[in-house]
Amino acid sequence: MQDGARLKFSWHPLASLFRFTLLLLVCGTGAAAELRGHVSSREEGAMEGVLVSARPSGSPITVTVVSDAKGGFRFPEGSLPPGRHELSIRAVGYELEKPITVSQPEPTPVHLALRKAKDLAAQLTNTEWFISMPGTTEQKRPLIECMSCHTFERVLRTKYGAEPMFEVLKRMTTYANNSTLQKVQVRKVERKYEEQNLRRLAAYLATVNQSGGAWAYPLKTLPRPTGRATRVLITEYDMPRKTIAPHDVQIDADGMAWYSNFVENYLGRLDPKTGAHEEFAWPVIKPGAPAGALALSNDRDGNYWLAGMFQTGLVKFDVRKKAFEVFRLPAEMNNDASQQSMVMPREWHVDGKVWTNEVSKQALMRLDVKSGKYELFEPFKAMGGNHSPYGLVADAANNLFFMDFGGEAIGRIDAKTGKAVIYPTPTPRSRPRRTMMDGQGRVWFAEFAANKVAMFDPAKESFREWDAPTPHTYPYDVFVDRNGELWSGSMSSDRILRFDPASGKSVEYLLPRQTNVRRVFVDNRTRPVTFWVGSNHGASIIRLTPLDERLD
Amino acid sequence: MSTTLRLAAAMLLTVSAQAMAGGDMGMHDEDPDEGVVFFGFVKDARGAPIAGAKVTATMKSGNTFIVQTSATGQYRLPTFSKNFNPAEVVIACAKEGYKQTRTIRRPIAKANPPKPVETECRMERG
Repeated sequence: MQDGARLKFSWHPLASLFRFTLLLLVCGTGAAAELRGHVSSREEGAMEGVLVSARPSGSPITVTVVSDAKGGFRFPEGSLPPGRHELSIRAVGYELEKPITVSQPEPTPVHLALRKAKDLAAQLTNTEWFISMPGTTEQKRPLIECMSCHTFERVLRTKYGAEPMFEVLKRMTTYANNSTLQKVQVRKVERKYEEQNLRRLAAYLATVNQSGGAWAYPLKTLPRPTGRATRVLITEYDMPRKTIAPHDVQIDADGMAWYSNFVENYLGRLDPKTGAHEEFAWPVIKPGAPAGALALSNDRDGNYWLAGMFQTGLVKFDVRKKAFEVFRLPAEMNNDASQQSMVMPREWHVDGKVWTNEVSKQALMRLDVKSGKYELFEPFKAMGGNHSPYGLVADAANNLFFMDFGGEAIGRIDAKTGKAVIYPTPTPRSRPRRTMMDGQGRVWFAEFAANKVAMFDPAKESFREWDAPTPHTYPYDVFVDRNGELWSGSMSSDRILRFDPASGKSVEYLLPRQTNVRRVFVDNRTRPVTFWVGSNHGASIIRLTPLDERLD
Repeated sequence: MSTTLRLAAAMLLTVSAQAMAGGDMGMHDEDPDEGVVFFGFVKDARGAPIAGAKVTATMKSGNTFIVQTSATGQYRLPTFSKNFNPAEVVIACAKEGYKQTRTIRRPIAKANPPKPVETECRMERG
């Protein structure tokens, strides 16, 4: 599939680095300039798949490479500025014997000696907790809600029995889903819950936490990256405040990274070339309600739209004027639980309308930009059950495709008639989450609860589904690149999935730190393509550059 | 359809209903497995299952559900709430080379939790 509309530019972010490198060569610093070395441990000898990160002292930018089959690692020329660098590693079950600082350029190879980690539990991803904890799929299923805000480590280290754990879970229902450990936000109205379900979950957690003493089950770990998964360069840009929670990240035509902040009323912009960071504050719409926006999407003019979450309504940012326009919900449509998590302005030039959702009503809405009026669409009305229109994408005629995140279907609303057609996914309880449309009008999406990525072809009204290779991946989103390869991220395993549906080949790139992956983005203008994502809990934006053009 | 095949299909339905149980920290109004489930088969004139047929369920609102039948000619819709009146849904089926002859809905028994609603769709070539 082609995504031709996004291939207008032949700009290359590494071009300036190449020029810089050339300059170094001319100056005679030569091939020894790059930081390189070798990783080993007493237990394994040479170690493959160890993430080695270098961070210049005081810099917000960390660069990571992965050791190869012989334990060797090498930072690409020009990837590190000259000066002192602190080195860190990620290899589950291991840690550095002692802190290491090196100089760049570093003429001699660095040897990194690893020893067994003193506290393995502190290193586990949520996926590793899922596969370690005893219990049935049904017992573990509700935990996928918990990881929106935190890892399981803090739950499983507690000593609460079932009753105090129930009280904790009740407290959790009072927090907004746009909460992080750095910024906990209280809802105006608590979430509805069934007491027996919460009690059942509390009772289960009391069997796997430390209420009965140390964990009685072994801690299982996922394998380290091997082969192609080690052929990657990862750059992390730390945000200037720990509270910043980048949710959706997009790269614009100039290579700037724009992002929505999930817990604060700011739109952010990062210049990956210089690391310069800028924030644009949008107004408080509903005082006392949780702050922050979820979805960020550009329109055809290159302006950005934000979905105002509990602040409610939609917010448009005019990039040239650097000015916000707020589209408030009318009082009769607004309530304390109102929540706009999504916005789809891509085709609003067609009919002057922008799609959004209303989580508190299991509904969708459409804004008429000129009049500021919202229409309500309730495809699940009278039907009942668990439904929650979530990820949105519009076709060229501004017909809407929406994901039923509460259920197991995707839907289409006809822009002219307003009628909905709902297509259940082949897998029940799939909980489709975020989505994108390719150049052929096919709808690609993540089946969060089914651990699959999927494609819906509107022309054939048919689905295809592919399993994520690792259980308990919980993909949030999927992006199909110009080669037809899929990119997805796990909310629980700190891994980025790259998958070729044509050949079935896949690779999972491990990220250097705990990363709660949400919306994913691929910049198709670079060779190879460049993958971008926000670390929703880790206050950083991540660029992943695969060294392989294709998976074949 | 043979009795064995129907039994197998009924078992399949039981499994999928179980797979839907539990859910989401109990933060929803009702358990999805307690509602009305629509399912059934698409068959030809001789009673053989038709795979890959398009089944359309139209609600009173004019909104529709579209599913395709499995290799055994079975379809299933997402769960409706237990208060939903099954009479409000009209089932139709379509496949290239076929035309629909009739639909047969099994009698709806009142029960709590509600019993699945089975609607069979018959088609013939032409």
